[in-house]
Amino acid sequence: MSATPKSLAELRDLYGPHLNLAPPGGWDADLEPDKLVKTHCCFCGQQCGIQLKVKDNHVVGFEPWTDFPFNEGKLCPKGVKRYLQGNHPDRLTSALMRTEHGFAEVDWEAAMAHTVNEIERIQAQYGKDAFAMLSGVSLTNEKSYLAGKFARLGLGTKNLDYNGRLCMVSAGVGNKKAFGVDRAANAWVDIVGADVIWVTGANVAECAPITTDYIWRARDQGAKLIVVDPRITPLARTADLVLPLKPGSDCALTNGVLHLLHKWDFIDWKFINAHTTGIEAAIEEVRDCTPEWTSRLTGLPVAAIEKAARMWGEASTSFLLHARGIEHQSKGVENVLGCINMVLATGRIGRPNCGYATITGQGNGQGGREHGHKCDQLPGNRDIENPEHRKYICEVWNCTDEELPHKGLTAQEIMNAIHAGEIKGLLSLCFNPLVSLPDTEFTREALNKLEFYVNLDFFLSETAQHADVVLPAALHEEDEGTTTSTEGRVIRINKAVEPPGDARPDWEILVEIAQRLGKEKWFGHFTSPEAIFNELRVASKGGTADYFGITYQKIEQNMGVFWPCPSLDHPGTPRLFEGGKFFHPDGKAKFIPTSWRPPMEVVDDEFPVWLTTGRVVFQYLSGTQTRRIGFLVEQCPHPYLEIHPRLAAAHGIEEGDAVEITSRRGALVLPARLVKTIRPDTVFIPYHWPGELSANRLTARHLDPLSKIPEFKVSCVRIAKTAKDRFPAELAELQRMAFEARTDQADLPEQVF
Amino acid sequence: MSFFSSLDLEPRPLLRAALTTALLCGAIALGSRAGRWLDPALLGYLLASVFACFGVAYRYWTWVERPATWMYFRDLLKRLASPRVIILLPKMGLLALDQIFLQRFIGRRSIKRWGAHALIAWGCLLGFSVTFPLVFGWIRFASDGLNQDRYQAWLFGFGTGSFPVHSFAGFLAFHVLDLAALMVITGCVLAFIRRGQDEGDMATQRFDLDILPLLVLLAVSITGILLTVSEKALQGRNFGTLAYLHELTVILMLLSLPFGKLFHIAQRPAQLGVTFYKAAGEAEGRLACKACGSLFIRANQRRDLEALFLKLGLETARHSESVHHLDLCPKCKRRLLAKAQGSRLGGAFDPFSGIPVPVDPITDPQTFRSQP
Amino acid sequence: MVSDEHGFFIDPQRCIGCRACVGACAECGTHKGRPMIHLDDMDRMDSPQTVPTVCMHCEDPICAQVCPADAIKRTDDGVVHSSQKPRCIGCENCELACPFGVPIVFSGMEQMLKCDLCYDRTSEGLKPMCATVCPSQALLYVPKHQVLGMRRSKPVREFLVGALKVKTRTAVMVPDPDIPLHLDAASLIEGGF
Repeated sequence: MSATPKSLAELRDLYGPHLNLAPPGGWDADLEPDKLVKTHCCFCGQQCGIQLKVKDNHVVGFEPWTDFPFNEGKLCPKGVKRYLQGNHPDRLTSALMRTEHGFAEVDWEAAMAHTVNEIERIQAQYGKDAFAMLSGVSLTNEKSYLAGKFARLGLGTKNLDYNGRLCMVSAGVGNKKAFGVDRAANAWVDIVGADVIWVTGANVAECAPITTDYIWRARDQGAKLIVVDPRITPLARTADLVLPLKPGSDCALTNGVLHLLHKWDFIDWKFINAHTTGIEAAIEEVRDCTPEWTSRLTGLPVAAIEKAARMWGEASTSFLLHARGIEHQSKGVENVLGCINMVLATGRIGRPNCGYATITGQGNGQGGREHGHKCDQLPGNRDIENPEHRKYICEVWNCTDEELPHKGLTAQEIMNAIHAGEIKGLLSLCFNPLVSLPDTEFTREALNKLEFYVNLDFFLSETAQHADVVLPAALHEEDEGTTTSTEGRVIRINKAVEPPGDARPDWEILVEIAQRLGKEKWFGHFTSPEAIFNELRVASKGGTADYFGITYQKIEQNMGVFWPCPSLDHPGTPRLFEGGKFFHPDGKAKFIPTSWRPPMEVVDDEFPVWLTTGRVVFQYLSGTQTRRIGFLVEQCPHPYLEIHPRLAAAHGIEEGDAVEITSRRGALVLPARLVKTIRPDTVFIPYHWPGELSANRLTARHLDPLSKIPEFKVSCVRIAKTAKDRFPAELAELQRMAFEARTDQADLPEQVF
Repeated sequence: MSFFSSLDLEPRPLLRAALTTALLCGAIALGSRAGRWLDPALLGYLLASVFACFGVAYRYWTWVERPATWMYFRDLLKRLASPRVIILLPKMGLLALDQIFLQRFIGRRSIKRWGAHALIAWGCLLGFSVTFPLVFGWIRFASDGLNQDRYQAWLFGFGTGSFPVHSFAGFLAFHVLDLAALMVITGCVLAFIRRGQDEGDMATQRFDLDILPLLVLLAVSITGILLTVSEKALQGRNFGTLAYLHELTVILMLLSLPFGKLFHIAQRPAQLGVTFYKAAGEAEGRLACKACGSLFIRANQRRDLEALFLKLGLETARHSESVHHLDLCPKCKRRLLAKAQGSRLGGAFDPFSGIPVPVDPITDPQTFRSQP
Repeated sequence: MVSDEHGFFIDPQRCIGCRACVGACAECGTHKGRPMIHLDDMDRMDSPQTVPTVCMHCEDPICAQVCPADAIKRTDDGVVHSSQKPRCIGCENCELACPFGVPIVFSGMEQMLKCDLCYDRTSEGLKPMCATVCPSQALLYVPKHQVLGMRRSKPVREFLVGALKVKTRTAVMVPDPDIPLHLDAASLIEGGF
């Protein structure tokens, strides 16, 4: 039913990705703006402040916002060129409905009526939960909150989940277990005063570029930097200690370090006795994790492990940062807890220059995971199965306990259930699972089985190509609201321009569907993002993620407010856990033992090479936006295989050669990029591309048992050199586009040195 | 000599400028039949033109004597002196059509700039092509003695036929300067509009270099047009005053030629020489960067630049007997700076220097167990 | 005029190769879609190190000395500008002679363009685009007196190009600023020449 209605090549001609190269009217046009709109970048969890130049209802450029305290004007290339996602030839400006001949533009009423009919039909025929909803955490807090309420009360389905499930959810689970709250423990300024900075599984330079400056400012004051990563990332290049460990062995390393911290008596017993529980079991767990044991599992020299433990142990202040590298694993939660144990053991949290944080990846990775957007969660980061929590939300929402569904399936599990025929209908927004979920072909099969699929998006993403109805949504700069940055700072997204054509903000679309489904009483009062935010404030009140004291006005006055902020006169909380107060009922943090186990897939004779995937600085997530911006595509047009020259030589592979990479799920052919900056037993592929170029054709649907995050970062493959004519056609197409992006710009030198 | 040195003038360019001016005077004398065809009403213009010629020539010869300019000028002279000049000249004509007349390269800088510039340039060229010959007495229009309705055109003192006053040719002959003036005025207005919108130009433009020349051209063109307006619409009212005003603006423009932006009219033909220099270099081949091996610098330019460095006192910019800084491509020069900084910091380029990368045989299965 | 109080400081060590500077440079009013900053890989196979290059704004710019058209000018504030449009004839002398590899000749339009410190911004008291956005602050534009307190390394403005001494407005951060930074081509090649 939901196979793509035309060939992929035809769809690409019609809906892109095409490239937007220059501001409207070209570089020579008069671009003197009518106004500058202070807002934030949409392209990662750091949420850098930026001013958009607006002229005649078009965004024509940007001006750095040097007063915003987090980034002080700094931006990565995605931020610099983010304005080019507007005025885009691929932009959807009217509703699309699938016909025999492809997508047809239809009027809003027809698309809406059909959508509502199909939702009602499927739910009547197969039950409420047979219609699922998938959402994303690039949405504002308001939309995240609305998505949670819309699924539960509008659709009445329990099956709502979000792509944060592919992001930092392991960190969320780990943080809640250890601290009783899920937020970066510190504002980033605490990085600057730290003696030692431990960065693990985080390619800070490419995925959180602005954080680089915080780390360097610390290093200017003498801080030591330890980077744990199978690849020598740009930040690792100059680090004081680099630990290029085997993929999937992170927990072995943290266990080994905890072992040494205990052995060498670097434990802060005073802090531990006063503010934590469970240290004994955690230490017992690592009793046998000697440096030799750690070395065998991680592939790191004993001396390096000992040096790391000593640097960490001897420091008087420290900051530990981690990201997807340790979280995207079948033991992501344990990896996170291993890091937390290192932090708690040394007592370096909850005071100045001492901290711990996960670096969220998606635009609203922090805020999007707090407001009931997850299958097991209610607003205020409440638990959907906790009777008291349910009772409070039922009061706020004015519904009965029976009307409020219980816990549903997680993102990958929803896709599995679609594949199994248990879920028949899907509404999705802000999510491109065909690129971002593991095992791409499985996802494609699943999408093809849907009876009805409605997608809200501003571009026709690869997943939207499988939809029956596509409703044109608004871009980030065409709507307002709030997001919460990786630091836990709630900030304002301001509207710069009106959406074009029939496009409208996601919240308006969801509210309209809910009203047409006869749920007026729960959604009728949502007439603006601020109206939604005001209900969110009440709904979050008393939860751990308490936004009650935050208002739009207060955010603008203070350049952001850190939650928890329980009352209007509360200044917000940049640093959590001050005075050793944690969020568990006993006020203490918990040590949780992390027992070692291998990844779900381990190299063997058949698939002898580790594969790890990740991001590049020029692309954002599934690339729906960034693969349409000329400059970014010019810098990194397509994926490639990073491979150590030694491994390459063993297979006769040279720079640029076609390499076939095969896993138990599938295969793809990519050009080789020979670099000595990766472990010789590991290869790396960036994941931002669809179809034949999708790294996720190789990854497995192995999930962490607690967080249900897929194990993107550890797979096993075999590689073989192949003929260059086996490169996918899409690769040549992308190379052509990148070339045109260069030459279409104002003259470039004939001779490129 | 003390007079020259107090003016800070160079004797050699001065001589050459004097010679150039003498040549022009000779050509005027010859073309105007020893002054017989000179129009006394245009005497002011004539003197200003001769003076401007001297100024422009002096500046031109001073410019050519700069070591860097001489490098190209000498090359062009050699080329012009060789017998191959016969093949060269037609090519040069074509190039001049593109670069001097059509100015397509300006279009590639900015299409708006090209539009404004082309109108100004063509307007000026058209105006100059009529006014200078008129002033120099090389052409002259006079009413045909036999037929009052016809005009007689004289070229270098030779009659070259006549045309009716009320014909298209007549209209053209009388109004060609108005047309030129209109082109220049439109071009200048467009230029001002563009400069008012362009953040970059607003920051870098200078009144004396970029704005004043436009104002001068505008003044010349507007006073010129006003002459026609006075004659046709106002029955000649204020014609005399306007004529003086026009003459004043033109003389000002001519006298400013050597000093301001308009000097580029004299410089621009050098671009033709550079084109041929580059072509000769391509024929000779490019040399490889001595660091990365990529071909980059044309052999003739490499040679000439080294000689130029010597003349400029930059000869110590070499790394060894065999490696001049000119032997590095621009990219390697850029890498060199970071390399130099890195070596000051010591070892920062090799993060593995402290820890060897462990290499397991890649086909060896790794077993992961929680107990050793 | 660009204020003399501010200085431009480069620390290639910090560069993360994100090319935000390149993208932002193109957005500047004097550049219009053409980036003037260079961002090169040192040698990608060996290292992720990248090298950002802005104009060093020499005190006696060699590019201007070798210009046959007399088109390259240094203003009194020490900024060396792109070639003057009416004069530049695109000969490439500047591109080949610059000790730091900065100028870019666009042959189609017969003109050399180069980093001009974002003159439209710096002359109004703003920072240049590249140094404003640079995430790692490898490109730093701050008051000169501030930089000493901010960084462990210190600015050097004297360079030895081979044996030729070149003084610049832009500084490079090094631990020992009293010794000119020696650009020695032998360092680019393993084992020297």
